[in-house]
Amino acid sequence: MRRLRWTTLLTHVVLLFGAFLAAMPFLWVITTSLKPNGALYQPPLLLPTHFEWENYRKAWEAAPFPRFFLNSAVMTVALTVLQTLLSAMAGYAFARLRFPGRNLLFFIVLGTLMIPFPVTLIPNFLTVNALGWVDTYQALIIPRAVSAFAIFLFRQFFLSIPKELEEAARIDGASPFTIFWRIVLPLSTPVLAASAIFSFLFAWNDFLWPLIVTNSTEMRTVQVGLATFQGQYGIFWTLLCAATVIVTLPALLAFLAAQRRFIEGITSTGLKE
Amino acid sequence: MRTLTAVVTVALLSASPALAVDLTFWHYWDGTNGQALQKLIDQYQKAHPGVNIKAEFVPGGELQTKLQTAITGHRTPSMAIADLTNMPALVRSGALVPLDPYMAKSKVNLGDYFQGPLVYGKYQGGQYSLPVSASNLALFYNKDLFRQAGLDPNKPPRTWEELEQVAKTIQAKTGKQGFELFTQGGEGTSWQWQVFLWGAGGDVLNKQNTAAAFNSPAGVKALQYWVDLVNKDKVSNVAPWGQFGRGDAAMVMDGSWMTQFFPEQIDFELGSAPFPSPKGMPPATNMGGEQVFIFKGDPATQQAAWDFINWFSSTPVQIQWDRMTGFMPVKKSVANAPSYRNWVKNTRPLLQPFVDSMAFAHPRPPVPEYAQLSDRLAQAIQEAVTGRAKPADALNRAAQDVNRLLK
Repeated sequence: MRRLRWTTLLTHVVLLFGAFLAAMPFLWVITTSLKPNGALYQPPLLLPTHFEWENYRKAWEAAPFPRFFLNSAVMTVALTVLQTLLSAMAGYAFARLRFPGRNLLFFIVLGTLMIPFPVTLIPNFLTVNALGWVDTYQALIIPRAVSAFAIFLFRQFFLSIPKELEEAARIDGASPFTIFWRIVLPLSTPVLAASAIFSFLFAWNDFLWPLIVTNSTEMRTVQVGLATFQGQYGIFWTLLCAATVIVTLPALLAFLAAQRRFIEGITSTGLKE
Repeated sequence: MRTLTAVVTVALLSASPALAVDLTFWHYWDGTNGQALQKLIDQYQKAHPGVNIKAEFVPGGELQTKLQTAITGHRTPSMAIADLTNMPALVRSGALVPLDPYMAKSKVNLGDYFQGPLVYGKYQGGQYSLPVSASNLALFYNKDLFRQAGLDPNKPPRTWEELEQVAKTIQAKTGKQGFELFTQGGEGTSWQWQVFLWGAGGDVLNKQNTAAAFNSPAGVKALQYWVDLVNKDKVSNVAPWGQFGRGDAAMVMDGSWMTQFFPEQIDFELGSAPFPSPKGMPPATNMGGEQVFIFKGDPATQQAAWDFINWFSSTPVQIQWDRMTGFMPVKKSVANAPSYRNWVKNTRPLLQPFVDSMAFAHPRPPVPEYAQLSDRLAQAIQEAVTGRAKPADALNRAAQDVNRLLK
């Protein structure tokens, strides 16, 4: 009994230390966002002794953030819905439908995961440009409406659903789409949630593509807004951190709201990123 | 017939001011600098009702990526600025308009410009960009620490020998670091060291920019000076940047823009002075800044872009611009204008040594390979400072690599 308590205590100490290491950058961002500019390098590092709320007002007013939030919201919602839905459909096709070249196509889709994004940046830009989409929502959304990673996630999950369920529906005369929509999707809430959260975080944090395909302030997203504080002649740490806190909040709330689903999704598909 | 021609001419003439021209201008001037630009654009548009200029801000580090994508996709703005070290790649892209015919027509006097920054726009005999803002390096020092060490806070060091002496005295009397060097590598180390290299009478590359020249006796002398500061006198140390700002170092080499930022960050009395050079040698410094250029487009847009640039570059507008932004003048007529000099003297005295230093500010080599060159050079400097190689050996090895790079 005594020994057990000691090991529990030790485990907790180790876990607390790990939690502290993980939380430390966030703590640093929050405390830096509340420091006056002059006290940036002064101790204490983590606990502020003086709260400079003014930083938040200054950061909010340094760029047209309401507009940036609207653009990020439009892009994030659209990408989350489209990526989840379209990738689920593709994933189902790869898992269940029989058609020539299925495996080859699936390997090609997987293969695209290995191409670093910067390599495709210019060809993608040229396409968007040829379509006349530069500086529009289409440019922000359409080229990324499907995600190879999500297709893989869905396919693996769908393979684990007992075939018998679908065969029963088949005998009752359901079409493949009905089976997908009414039988398979309702069984797939964990993976739907996981994919949605991945898409949400990807879209919300995306920087380079929105920067390249938008020119006007009216079309910029929050991450591009954050870059405003990293000027050519110096980084405005306190304002940058204040703006980072503001911009991170929606992503943090989304994660907290769906945290359980998220972990379920990851564990049930056997994936870790 | 003649009346018809006259009617058409009159119609064309009266129509031309109404012909609206839309110009886009990409830049990375954030905060007050961006506001200053917008103010000037508004002023210009009021005087030229047909011209509509849209300034589009691109965050600093990404402007070059965006310009390169735009050039590949043929979606360039009418005009843009870039950091001067990015200019060699841009002028070689073939996407820029040579400014010479426009400059000839508008009678631009290039002789009025400080000659250093002009080299970045030169390519195959043409001028493709003009400097619109500048910055440079000089000495900042902590007057409080000077006083504590019993030194005259109005007598900053003028030579390398004095710098060494002052740093030693302060370190002995106050226990604070004498002189902070940027030892963290990369461009930060490289561009500071170049000031010492030029101060010692050397240069980074040869005259034709085809081979390394920094491994000269002057280069070895400059690097030995750094090695001595760190290892013999121990007045400088290998440590993360920022000691001066925290009040832990008495002197530092930093940029003109810090005359704006330091006062907000520090709680000691700040002094500035031209950077010291070896006894008997002319002073030298490094410089940064932005250049403006026009992308190829239809002639009317190009002309309208030039008209704006020409106005923006004119001495009265540049005086306004430099006063609003704190940028260094790019033209001698601005640096010498009483309205500019009085503004510096009365409101930004810390800026005076920087303005004076423009006359001897050297350009970093205007080659597209500059970034790699600078990295390699910084590596050599670090090797010597940390005692892993002798200065001459470190520089010679770097020179070999740089020569291969430039081939």
